[in-house]
Amino acid sequence: MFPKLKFTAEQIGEYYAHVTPDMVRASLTASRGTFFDLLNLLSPEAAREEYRDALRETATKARRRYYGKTVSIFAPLYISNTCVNSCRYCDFNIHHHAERKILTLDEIDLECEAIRKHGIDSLLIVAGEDPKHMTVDFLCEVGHRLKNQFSCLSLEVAPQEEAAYRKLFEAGFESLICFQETYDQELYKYLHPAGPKSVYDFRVWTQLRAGKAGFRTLGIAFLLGLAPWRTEAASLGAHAFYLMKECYESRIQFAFPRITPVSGGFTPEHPVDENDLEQMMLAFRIVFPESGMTVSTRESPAFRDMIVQSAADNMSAGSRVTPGGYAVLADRDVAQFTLNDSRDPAEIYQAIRANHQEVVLKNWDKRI
Amino acid sequence: MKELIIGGRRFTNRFFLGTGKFASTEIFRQALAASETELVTVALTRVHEDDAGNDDILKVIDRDKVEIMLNTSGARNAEEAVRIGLIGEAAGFRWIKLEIHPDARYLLPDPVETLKAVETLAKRGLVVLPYINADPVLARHLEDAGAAAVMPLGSPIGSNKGIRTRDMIEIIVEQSHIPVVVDAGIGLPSHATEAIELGADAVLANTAVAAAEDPVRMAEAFKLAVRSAELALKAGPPAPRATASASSPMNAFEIFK
Repeated sequence: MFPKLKFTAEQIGEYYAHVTPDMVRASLTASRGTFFDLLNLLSPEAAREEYRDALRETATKARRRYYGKTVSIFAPLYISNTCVNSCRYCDFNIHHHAERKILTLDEIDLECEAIRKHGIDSLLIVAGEDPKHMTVDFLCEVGHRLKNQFSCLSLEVAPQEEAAYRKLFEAGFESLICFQETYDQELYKYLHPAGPKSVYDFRVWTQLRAGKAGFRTLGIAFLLGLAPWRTEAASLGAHAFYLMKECYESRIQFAFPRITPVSGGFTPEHPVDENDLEQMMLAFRIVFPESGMTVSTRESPAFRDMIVQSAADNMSAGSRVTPGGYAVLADRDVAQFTLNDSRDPAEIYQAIRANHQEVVLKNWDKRI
Repeated sequence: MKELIIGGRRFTNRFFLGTGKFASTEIFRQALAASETELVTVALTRVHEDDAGNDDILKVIDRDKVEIMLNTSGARNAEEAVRIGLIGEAAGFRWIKLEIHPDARYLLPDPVETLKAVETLAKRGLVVLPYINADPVLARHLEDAGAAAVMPLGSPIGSNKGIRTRDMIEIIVEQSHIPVVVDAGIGLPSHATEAIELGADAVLANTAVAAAEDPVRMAEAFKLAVRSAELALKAGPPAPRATASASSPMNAFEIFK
């Protein structure tokens, strides 16, 4: 469980088992959602078909109140897929003999040019954990190079110390994403047997360090499929409440990445289906109406188009998850995971507009 | 509910009492006893009466049982408030209720001057409790500046209107790492109860007690109201919020270790 949460997985399970229809209904109308409202809405009771429309309606209203009829678009840019970790479920795993690539600064420029052609102004820099090449200095160099080209730069790289986050923030990165993968300490140890990532505590306090260093958006998630999702979601909610108190100047952003087939053949022990995923995203939207929420590109176009109206407020478009995938080596795919939504940005924009929502490409102007 | 500790001192009673506006020191003495409070506020002007003076309020306060918090009321800016604090410190008082109101009509606190004064006084190691408007961001700044607790108002001083700043107090409670004491505007015991139910750690009242027809009874009523709210929170209320099921060991009011 999230280390600060005072309940055990058993207690959370016991609570879920005793959620009544009255508790679900009360949480649907609560003016300020608490941790227990979240549990009520995540419960097996709330999964029943009879509540689904009410969940959708409440979430849609909350989403509209905070985000209006807009969808923010970003693109991930994989600058490297070298990695020293040995996560059992990941294709970037050190033991997996895939072709590895580290983009040069010039190649990064080419990629950015291709991304900007679609009007995308918000960029997520992604890299595997590779202390030798993905140094803070190199990432800062990337930041300085790109900060005037994009209005928002986010980071999804190995966890860093607070001092490094200060440097990265100064270099232009203002948003951070770090998936905990699982909040279950035992399982975490099993899944991450070696490499720097094997240290649970350093990873779980990543957002706290980044928040203290000034990062404006703190992204949190677990990897759906590794452990029972309702237990993990309780930890995710607690993590959010904790960060909201400790880093009140930062905004929380949720993601719900589901394990999809990888070439290594990892089969999730606790698969999460679309119905579960929708319930979870609706519940988090209702309880955290002001927080950001990303819908993964691992999901189907139909699901993405639906959930971006009721819960998620941002999504990627035209993603390539191979370093160089946009321009440099567009057809040699060594992806971290398999994409489900392969539409190009124009098609995604069109789908958003067809649902009477507006595409937002730019949220901030660096000159401010 | 968490134990209430301010400035290293543990409080078992969450009701604090102001000493102004009582008809006599004797009535105050009785009200103080009835309230069983462990913290009172006293204005500097009343500390400096000489032995022959007409005010012996300090003599009726047993300082082993009751902490005295000097208030800076009358100060219009940080400089004056700091001066009052330093005079108090020289006279042996470590607890300061920081109250700065340039506004003579509603006695609303000045956030800019309050922050400045807390920075100065907290650095000296004094236990500073600033009286503020119910402003969550200001509360965070004051926490960072070293305040021992924050005292957001329910409504203007002496107005007896109750908790009109409910939504903002909820946010302060949610975000604060230091105790939150609702001060000002508390006119009835039910207002004090409401403050505790919102998650405030304690309540301070003065006018509601001192100006009551029977201040001694009213002091007792406040003590009971605050105690009652505290007990109820510890008991874990059931529906309509339906936050915890009866069979669950989970306490709905604090989810972190």
